[in-house]
Amino acid sequence: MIKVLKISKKYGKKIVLNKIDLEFQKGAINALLGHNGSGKTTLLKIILNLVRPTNGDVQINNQSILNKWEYRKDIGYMAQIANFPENLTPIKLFDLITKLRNAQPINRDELIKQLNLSSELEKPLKNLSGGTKQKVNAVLALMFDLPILILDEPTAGLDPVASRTLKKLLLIEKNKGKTIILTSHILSDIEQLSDFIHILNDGNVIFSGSKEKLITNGNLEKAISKLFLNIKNKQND
Amino acid sequence: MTKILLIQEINDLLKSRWIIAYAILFFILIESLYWFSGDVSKVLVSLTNIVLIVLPLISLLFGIQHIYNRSEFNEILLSQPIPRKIIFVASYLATTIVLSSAFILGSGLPILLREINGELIISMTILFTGVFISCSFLALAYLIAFSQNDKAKGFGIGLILWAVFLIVYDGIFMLILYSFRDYPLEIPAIVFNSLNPINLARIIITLKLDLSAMMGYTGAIYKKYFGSTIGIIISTSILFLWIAIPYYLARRIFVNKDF
Repeated sequence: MIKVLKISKKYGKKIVLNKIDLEFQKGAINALLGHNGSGKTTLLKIILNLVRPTNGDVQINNQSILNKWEYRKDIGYMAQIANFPENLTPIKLFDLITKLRNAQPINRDELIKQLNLSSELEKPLKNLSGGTKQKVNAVLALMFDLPILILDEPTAGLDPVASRTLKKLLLIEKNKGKTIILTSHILSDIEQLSDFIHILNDGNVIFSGSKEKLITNGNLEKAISKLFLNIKNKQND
Repeated sequence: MTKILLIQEINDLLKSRWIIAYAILFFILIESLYWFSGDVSKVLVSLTNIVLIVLPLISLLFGIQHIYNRSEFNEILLSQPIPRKIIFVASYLATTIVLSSAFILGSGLPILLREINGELIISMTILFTGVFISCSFLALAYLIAFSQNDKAKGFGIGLILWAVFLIVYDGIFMLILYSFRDYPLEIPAIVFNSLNPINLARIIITLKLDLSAMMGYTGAIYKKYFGSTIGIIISTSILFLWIAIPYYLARRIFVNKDF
């Protein structure tokens, strides 16, 4: 389980995250939702120590991970923007990350097959489309069979077939007992995949709980609209 | 891990057309100088000017461009179980090795082949100073690029820094010398000179070449106070600090930076 404890992040005077507390459950897909600039990516990056929080702590299995790097051996990360060295080929990139991690990429060949990447493996990454780079990004995150997956808008830029394949893969990973955190603006994906939903608004958590608790009537879009309407009404009062 | 990253980054940089063009440019330039002048000393003076003017600019622009181009891949690397210091060290070493090698191959090869029985030590001094200048300005480039997220501002700062070291600094220095001409200025001049890596490089080369016309006021002071050999040792040591300090600051910023 990943615990976010009173995490704050300020950039100058701008408060991106405001003392937020969250728990991401094991063996579940935890969706992180919010408007652009609500702090979703910043929170994911704090968990990875790519961004240093102003205050607060993050614990994985009750161990603080701030200013540490070894714990990342258990995390697969899919960044929002997939940009790699231009002259590298996907296969060389996979080899590089494998060597750096000193781990066995046990899922690699199966992922390459399922995401239809076989014909692209020897091409320089500069010649690949954005969608294909995103598939490469997905292989990098999933190929080591790691217990934690952090995915920042994983289906963005993917064609419908690849998107469906990736969602299927994520459900398989969840059933293996992994902790999966993902962000997305595609609500149908969230509704289809997630077990727990956490919604951020202006750096605050406005909802955190099971999908069923949020969607009491209708669909996710209606539930979120209702939630934001309630907040707006409270602010107006 | 450092070795794995270093090899990858060197391979990646070697495939860049800019590096190949950089080496070829130096080769053509030196060959042309030999072809047209035929005089070794003129070639060495021209090479000195290239080292003092072109190398700092290319090192700054190349370093800044490299960091901005690699920023998103750095995010992927930083999400792996690797300490940040290792990523920084590998990146700095790779750019330094590649840029210095391109300079040595491009300008050093034609000189060393011709001067093997001639002005070899002076040629080596110029090449060695060129490598130092590359290392120093690459460290400054890393410092600028990691402190400034805006690419356009990063390049702007780099260009301003180059212009300051090359032109503005000497202007200010001359103004100070003129304004305080009634006072003894030798020691302040040495200190003031240490704050500019291009001036230090100029002193190292001119002390070795013993070129009074290019030595300038501070070069003459170095020679007067320390003699040629000690003067070269002192200025090289200070130039080394111009690598070590920006490198340390850039690494510190990288280690604590938000990506």
